[in-house]
Amino acid sequence: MSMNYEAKNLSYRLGDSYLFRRINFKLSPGECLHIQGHNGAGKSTLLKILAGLAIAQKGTITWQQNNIHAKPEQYYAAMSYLGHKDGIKRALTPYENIMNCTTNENRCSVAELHALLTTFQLVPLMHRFCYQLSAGQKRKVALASLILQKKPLWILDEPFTTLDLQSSHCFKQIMDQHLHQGGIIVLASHRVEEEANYQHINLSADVNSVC
Amino acid sequence: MWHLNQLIPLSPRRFYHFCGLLQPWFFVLSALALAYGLFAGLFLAPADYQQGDGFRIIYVHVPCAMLSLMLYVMMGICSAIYLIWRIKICDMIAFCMAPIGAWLTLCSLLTGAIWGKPMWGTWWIWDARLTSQLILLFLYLGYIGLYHAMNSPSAAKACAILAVVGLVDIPVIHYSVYWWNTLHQKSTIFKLQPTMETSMLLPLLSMILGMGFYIAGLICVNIRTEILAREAHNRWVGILLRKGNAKELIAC
Amino acid sequence: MLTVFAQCLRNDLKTLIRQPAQWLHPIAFFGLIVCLFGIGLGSDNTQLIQLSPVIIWVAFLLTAIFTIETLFYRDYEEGVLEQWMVSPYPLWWLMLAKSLAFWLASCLPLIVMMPVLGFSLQLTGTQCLLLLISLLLGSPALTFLGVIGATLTLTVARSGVFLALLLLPLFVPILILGVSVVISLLAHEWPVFQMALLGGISVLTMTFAPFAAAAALKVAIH
Repeated sequence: MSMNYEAKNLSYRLGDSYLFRRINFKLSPGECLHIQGHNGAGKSTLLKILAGLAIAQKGTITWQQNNIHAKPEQYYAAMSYLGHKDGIKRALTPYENIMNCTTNENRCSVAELHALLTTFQLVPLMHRFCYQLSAGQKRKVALASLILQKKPLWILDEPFTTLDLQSSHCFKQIMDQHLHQGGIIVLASHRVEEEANYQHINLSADVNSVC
Repeated sequence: MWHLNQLIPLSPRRFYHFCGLLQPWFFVLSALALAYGLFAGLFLAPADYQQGDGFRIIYVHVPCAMLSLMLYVMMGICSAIYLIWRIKICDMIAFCMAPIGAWLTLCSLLTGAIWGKPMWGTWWIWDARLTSQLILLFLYLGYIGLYHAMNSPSAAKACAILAVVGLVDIPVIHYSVYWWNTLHQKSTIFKLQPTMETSMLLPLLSMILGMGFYIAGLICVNIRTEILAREAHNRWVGILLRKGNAKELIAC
Repeated sequence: MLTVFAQCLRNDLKTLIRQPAQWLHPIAFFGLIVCLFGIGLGSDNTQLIQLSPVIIWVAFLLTAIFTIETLFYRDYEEGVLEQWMVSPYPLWWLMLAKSLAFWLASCLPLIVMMPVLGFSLQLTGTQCLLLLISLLLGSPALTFLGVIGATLTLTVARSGVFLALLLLPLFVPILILGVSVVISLLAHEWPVFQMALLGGISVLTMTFAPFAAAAALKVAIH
């Protein structure tokens, strides 16, 4: 089944006014959506709605022609979300955290794990507790778990915060590779330059649609 | 095949006007019932052979206690309807019932204490009724507290869950507290005469009805205010206010 | 599904065990309350025996309430709860695993410690044993109801006493049943009925509490 990710007419109201109205997009395998906007424009809220953590007052989101709220298990089996919080347990080691996120069906090989950790320079820290790591290192652990889950759809909220330049560059390459392999990415970030092959939504503009 | 929507309007605007129609009737009926109940209870009913004139406080205590429990049950049912069928107006009704229920419970506790002093010689006693009323008060306070503590729009659903859990818990609390007291205080259980004389019973029923109508009227007032507050961004509220029905709004 | 349950259980146990404060504080708190009562009531043994089941149960309840407050806070803060919500496994199943981990790491040490405190409060062997069984039967109910309370107050700051207010009406029947177990024994009646009822309440809460907690969690995260 071809993977199609579509949103129609999403609107979210906060109190008396709308945070955003009539958001539409359609993504096929290999495409990336970049959500832009000033602080407080509603990027994180939109990503939470796409991840199913919040519900928009109007609009529908479909994955493979199914509404995500109608068949949540199917959607979550294909989607990985990374929010502002890292989502890793600080009392466990990076190795344990990553192993938790990869289930038996998707268990990655030791070679893959080692290769990714080398890229992120986490190998010497693999068996230290996460509360001893810096913010950037914790973010890298979270990204590593996300990548190793091997799910086709990634929803990322500011993935590059706290990462150093080299790690940002590495992750950007991993993202390109994921798109090349037929994955879909929805991204909100201040640090991504204008890419010609990405779709863009700007939440600060008055009329919101895919450009 | 009739729909519930035809019997009781479920949209906030129509419910606002529906309550507006019912409100004066509730207050009139309650005034009549309370007038008879108070007069007959305080003056006409004969003094109890066991307690003398002191028993007359039951005309306030029993309606308060009964209605506070009934109100919580209705609150729980409204919350359950809100959770299952997502009818917004039910959440508003439950929210408006909670403070009234809390006050009723407090009144029943106070009148219970006032009743207790001449009867048992002490201001408070851990018997089944007062203890379960106290726990009911905590249930109400918990609901109100949670609604105000969670400043997000999802507070409604969280409190609805709390109300439903409390509703399921009420029979358990009543049964266990009653059983615990029969175990401990067999001698101090106070029972009203097994069959009340009609002249005592009628004013009591009248008081219960009167207070019930009064509470219904109060709920109507509260809910109309709540609807206006929550739907303030909708056009019909603006039109209503601009029409200059200021007197009506002040009366609310 | 079972592997996920075992994994979740293992993680939570590891997390709880690696933070000594999480399991030492409840033990210390429990012991402290009982000691204070022992000191206060002191020399009158007959009065102490009548009161000791109540003292132990109330101390257990208070410890449970104040430990449950921190149950989800850390996970909420770290974003782990969000990841649970976007996992393909049912949320109630994960909540069940978490509740079980909490019971194993927080309630079980208290229950194991209880006989020592029981003897200090002048309870005999049989009475201690019965009190132990009543705690074993009643503590799952306390855990599961506490989990509901903790998820409802997740987004409320400093929710300790507020949580106690919410949970009090739910805990009262369990307290009454638990205390009546030993009181019945003191009155020379074998408390089969109370223990059966305690067990029944625990099973009942185990069946509906994970779903209620999952619903409350979805509401809190939204």
